[in-house]
Amino acid sequence: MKRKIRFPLLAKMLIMTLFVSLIPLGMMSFMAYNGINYLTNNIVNVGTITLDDLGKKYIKEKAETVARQLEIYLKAHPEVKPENILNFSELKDIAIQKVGETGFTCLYDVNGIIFLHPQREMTKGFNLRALSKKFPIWWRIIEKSFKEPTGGEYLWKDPDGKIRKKYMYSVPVGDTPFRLGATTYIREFSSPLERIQSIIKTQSISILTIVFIIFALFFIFALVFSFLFARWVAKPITELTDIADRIALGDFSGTITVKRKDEIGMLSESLSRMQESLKVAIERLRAKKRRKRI
Amino acid sequence: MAKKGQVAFGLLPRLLIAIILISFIPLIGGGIFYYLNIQKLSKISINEMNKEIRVASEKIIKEKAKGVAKELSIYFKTYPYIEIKFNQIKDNEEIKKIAIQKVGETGYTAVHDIKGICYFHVNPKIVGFDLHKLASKLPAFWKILEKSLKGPADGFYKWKDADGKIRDKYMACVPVKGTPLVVAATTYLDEFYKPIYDIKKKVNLLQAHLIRYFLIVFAITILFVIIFGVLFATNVSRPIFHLADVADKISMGDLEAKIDVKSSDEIGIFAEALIRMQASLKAAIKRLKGR
Repeated sequence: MKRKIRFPLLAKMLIMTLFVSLIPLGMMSFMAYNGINYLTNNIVNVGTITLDDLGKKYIKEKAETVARQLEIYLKAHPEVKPENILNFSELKDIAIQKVGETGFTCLYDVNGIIFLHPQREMTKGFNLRALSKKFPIWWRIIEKSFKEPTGGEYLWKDPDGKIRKKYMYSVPVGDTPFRLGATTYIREFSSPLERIQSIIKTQSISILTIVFIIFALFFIFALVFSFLFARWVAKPITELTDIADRIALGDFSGTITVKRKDEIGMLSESLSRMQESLKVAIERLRAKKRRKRI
Repeated sequence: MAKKGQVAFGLLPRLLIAIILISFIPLIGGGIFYYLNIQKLSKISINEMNKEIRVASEKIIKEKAKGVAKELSIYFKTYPYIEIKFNQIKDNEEIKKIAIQKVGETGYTAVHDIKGICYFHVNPKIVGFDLHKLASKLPAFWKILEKSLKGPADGFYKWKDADGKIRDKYMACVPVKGTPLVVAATTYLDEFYKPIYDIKKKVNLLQAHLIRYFLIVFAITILFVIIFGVLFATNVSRPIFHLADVADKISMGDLEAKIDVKSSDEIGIFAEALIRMQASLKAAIKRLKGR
């Protein structure tokens, strides 16, 4: 006899599994995931700031030392004038130095006029003010450098059309109207972080993949387990239900195969005793009735 | 009569074993796995960061040494009449100003010659000192210095401060072109690693937090296990006890025993079957007794 069960043991078991196993494991995984993200973000953020700072320190150092080198040279060579500056190749070698891998130093004056610059389009006499509209942030740094040592980040559009972040530090050359600027791409300093970032990324992806696989396997395991456990409880009870139904129809011949040490085993023993005693009782009554008829 | 004592190995202990299998073991395993991996990940990333910061700070210190060396070389080139001898230049304020510069926040540059005699130093007591004498006292420091007598050199060494603390220092030595002089730039590395200490602190805090959160999850789970385990087991075993009791009463001839099960699962179905059985038995016995 099949009847519809509204709230089967399996459902109960699944709800319990959900609460005692899947939800806590999910919570834990979520925390670990957040932890990994927090860790990655922090290391990358602090790392970027730190390396950028060190890069800026380096650029500042470079600007200051080149300015001092120029100062020493100019002090000893009073014959150097803005007009004839290109005639002194030694001065040019001092004023134009490499900064890091991609940067350089250059010499200009408080009017924004270029004297020595490594790029060909920036010839002597070029007025930096011409670029003030195109690169306003950069121009603000240049303008401020006329008055005092200044450093700042700005965006620069390269000939290839790409806009990149640069950093410039500019210092006066002694008491002269000359200003020495050192500039380079910021990326040069924080790019090692991309390597670290990719290491962290691969690592955390592998952790999360393992977590996901474990979680999936575990989910299946928990489902199978709940199913088996529920069936292990429900099956003998269904068998006992069958016995009771047969007794209701007057059939006492059903045999109870359930043999267990738990509550269900106990119930089946009780039921088996009941079946036996009912059988005897009913048979006695039938015999009595038969005798009465005779 | 059905009594709890008859049950040798009940549903509740069985259920608890099952829960331990599907709940505690994976939770503890998962927690340890996460924790160890996060620890490993933080270690790797902090190590890598350390490396990068070291490279960047070395670059700055080297650049400083190079810059000062170049300044000195330009100076001596523009004043060729200055004889580069210890007694001639040691009191030259202009050269001193170039030779002794600050490196970072805690370091200074110094100048010695290829014979190992110190020319300029922020500590005037060391000026004129033969650095060879430090060879046995500070072997790591001397190793760098010894190399610097022949060309550019750099490296790490431990330095004992006045207060007795031993700290890591880095030194970069660059020869001054055209002179027998060598510029040494040296500084404590702590100042560069400050941000790493901050990250380390945060990472440790995160790990402590994670352990605490995991323990909280674990505590909640134990609570869930107790609530649901007991709920489930009693929800199943109580009606079973009751039904066993009823079956026993029926065996004793008491067909009036009341069946009081309000369960909508398999046990409820069984209870309904028992009620039907009771009714049909009652009817059958009445019929048999009737005549």
